[in-house]
Amino acid sequence: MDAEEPVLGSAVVEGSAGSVSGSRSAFPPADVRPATDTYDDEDDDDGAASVGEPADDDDEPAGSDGAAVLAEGLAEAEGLAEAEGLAEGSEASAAASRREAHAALDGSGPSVSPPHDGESVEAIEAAVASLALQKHPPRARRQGSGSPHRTSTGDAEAAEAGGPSTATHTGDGRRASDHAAVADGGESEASTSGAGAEDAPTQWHTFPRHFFILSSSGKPIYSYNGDEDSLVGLSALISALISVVQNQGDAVQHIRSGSTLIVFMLHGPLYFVAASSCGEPATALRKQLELMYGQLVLIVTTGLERIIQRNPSYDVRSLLDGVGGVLSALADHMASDPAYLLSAHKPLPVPAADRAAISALLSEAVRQSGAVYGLLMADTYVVAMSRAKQQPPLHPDDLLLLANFVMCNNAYRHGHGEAFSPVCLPHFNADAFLHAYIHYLDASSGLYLVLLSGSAEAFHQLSSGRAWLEEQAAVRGLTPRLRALRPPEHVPASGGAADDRRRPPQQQQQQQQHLNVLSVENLPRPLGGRFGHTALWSYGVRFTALQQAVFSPPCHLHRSPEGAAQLASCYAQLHSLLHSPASPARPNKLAWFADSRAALVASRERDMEVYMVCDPMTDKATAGALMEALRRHFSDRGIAADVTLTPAAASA
Amino acid sequence: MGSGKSSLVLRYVKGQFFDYQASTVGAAFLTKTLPELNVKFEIWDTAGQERYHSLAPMYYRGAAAAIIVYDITSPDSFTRAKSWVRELQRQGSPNMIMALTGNKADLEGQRAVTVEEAQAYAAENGLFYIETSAKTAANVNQLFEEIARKLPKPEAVPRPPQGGIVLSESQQAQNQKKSSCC
Ligand SMILES: Nc1nc2c(ncn2[C@@H]2O[C@H](COP(=O)(O)OP(=O)(O)OP(=O)(O)O)[C@@H](O)[C@H]2O)c(=O)[nH]1
Ligand SMILES: [Mg+2]
Repeated sequence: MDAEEPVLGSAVVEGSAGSVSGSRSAFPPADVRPATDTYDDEDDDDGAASVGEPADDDDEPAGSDGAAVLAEGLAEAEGLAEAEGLAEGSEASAAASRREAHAALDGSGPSVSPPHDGESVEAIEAAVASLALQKHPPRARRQGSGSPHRTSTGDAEAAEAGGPSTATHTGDGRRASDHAAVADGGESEASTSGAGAEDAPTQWHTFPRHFFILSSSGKPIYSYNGDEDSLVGLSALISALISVVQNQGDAVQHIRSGSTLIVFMLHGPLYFVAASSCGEPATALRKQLELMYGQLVLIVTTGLERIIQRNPSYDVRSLLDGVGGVLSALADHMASDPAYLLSAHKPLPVPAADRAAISALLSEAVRQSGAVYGLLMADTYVVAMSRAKQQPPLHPDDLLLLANFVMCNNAYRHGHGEAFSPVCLPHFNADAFLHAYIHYLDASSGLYLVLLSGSAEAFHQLSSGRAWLEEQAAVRGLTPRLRALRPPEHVPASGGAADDRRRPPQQQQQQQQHLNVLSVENLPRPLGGRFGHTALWSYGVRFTALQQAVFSPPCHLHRSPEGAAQLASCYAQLHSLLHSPASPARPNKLAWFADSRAALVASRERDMEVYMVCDPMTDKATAGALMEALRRHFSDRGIAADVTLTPAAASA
Repeated sequence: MGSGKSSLVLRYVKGQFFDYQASTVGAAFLTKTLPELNVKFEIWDTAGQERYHSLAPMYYRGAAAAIIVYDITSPDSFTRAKSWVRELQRQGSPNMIMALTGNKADLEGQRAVTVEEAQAYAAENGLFYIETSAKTAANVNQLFEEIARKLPKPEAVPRPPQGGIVLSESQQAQNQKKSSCC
């Protein structure tokens, strides 16, 4: 039995020769130095075919013609392919595919099908048609700001990101084949016509969002809806996907079928697929897939990829017990909290003096225990963080993934002993584990401490570091203040992550007083006021230099699960508008989007990105004034001190 | 589903039981002192999930005792328990006390591993054998007390060679080892 058990630890040992681990430790401690980033953390990675630029009259010349925009978009895609180095096969052939794709997009070039993948593209179309997910309840009808729709695939993208959802099936089918044309560089018969949507045979077509992970040999690894075995019926899609992706590298990153957008991502022998009819832009889905990959790495390191590479037929699911739950919780989280898009730490508002006192204690605990990082968190929010000398700042994505991992295991919260678990922080070192000491301050609170060490033997040191911190907090009278801290109430968008912290509203209010500083009601005029008194409904601010972001607690419109999902999708659209310009040389500074449900505004300046969701009646002048007022408010040092971590805590 | 390692320890240390007990990730550390026997248990509750198998030596190395838990309703978990016994015989310290525990004894109706079979195996391998139920608490105290009694007297215990687990004179370390099922 032992002989047939491939063990991650041993795989990892191979992969990290030269780590400082003693040979006794099967899980090698991470070299306490960061690996170079394994995936790009830049935010403007866009799909090759996604060049649509929903009109933004402040930045975009009004009548820019389709072909020109496409050419720019493709240039961007090419740059990206090179930067990522994802393309399989020779550079030359990848470049050739891109040229062909370009020609097809352009509509004027010769439509030459690449010889080898025409068939598989048909297969993809067919499979995709059968996979078409049920239409999401009609979303807000976005009217853009008056510029005519361009007749390009990019426009399909734009139209879906913000366009009318009343499009007919024919129209949708048209779009699907447009995208297919991107893939095969040839025919764009409207042959798929979206007909599969109604009679899709797969059981999970009823879900508006779907994620799955496959190995390159077609073995199912994870499925968001249903179990992995439900993926077996997708072999047509899988084989088509694999051959197209292998032939064209990352030229095929997403495909649209009906109202469903399907995004692919490759990581070594792992294939990630997201399908959604909820209207997230491709950039958002792609970021979600990247984070899902990161979550997988957090639990098993890249050792998993090495195992599959060595033995493609090995069923790695025996090594992934319980991982599905963590991935699904992440997917649920991302559906309701758009902060993942910003790659920013989310500080919990805490009075500056308290935060300073807690941070000092945490730093000392880290020093005493020999930890490399120390974190005091409330759900996914940071109360304080500290790191050993010479360690780089933690990457915000790593922190989100770690938080999700901790929150998934209720044994941590309910204090079933002192928890000690290997975790891998993908941006820190994707090949090896750190060892995490995880401790909730008390079971009822969402507040927990994580001390991370490079050594698997560090448990007792970390444990006494934690004991020291609790003792000191008590001595200094900080404990009750710490226990009163609560993460903002989280609304699970799809009912996935159950929240066991329901409290009577009054108690809630008391406990969340520290959060009031962010609520719209308490902002100064003209921003603030009760619902209906101010045009501002919701906002998010990203402090660029600090890599931190804050969001207002949702107004009552967005407190239901559907509302939360809607709000998250608003932010995702704004983010995509701001960060996926047709020409990367001219990043968008301002994005504006209005419809009958809300007016969405975002701006990007050197120091700050601001996102606002406003009353739909808001005109541009008012929105501009609000934007300016928000910027001024959060530039105030006193405000910033309470709502952000000091640069010292975050990065020094 | 796990064989009930965490449930046994929680029942013993905190007197609690949960029908829904989250699967252990990594490991958890608990302590319990028995003043009348002059023993302090330091217990590692390890993860049964396969990917954490490679972590196990870190916890049983230098341990004074190990409890290998299987689920009496799962023949598969019994098979795994036997493979853990072999591993501990090979890799554990020679003086380690080993207890083989058939848990979920309250599920008599679904029993798939007979007492006779387990008893015979335990006798063959020199293991202490007992059936428990974390749910009803049956035999849980007996299991740990029996181990406490079997431990050598404090004076006789050499300090463990490595610095990982620090034991004071009146303490005994016990590593909670497991066999997990399905
Ligand atoms: N009926 C019954 N159920 C039990 C008993 N002990 C544990 N369980 C249940 O069995 C399941 C698994 O128990 P755990 O204690 O998590 O098992 P484990 O061995 O720690 O599992 P891992 O941490 O995954 O290795 C839980 O749902 C428990 O409620 C028992 O004595 N009787
Ligand atoms: Mg357990």
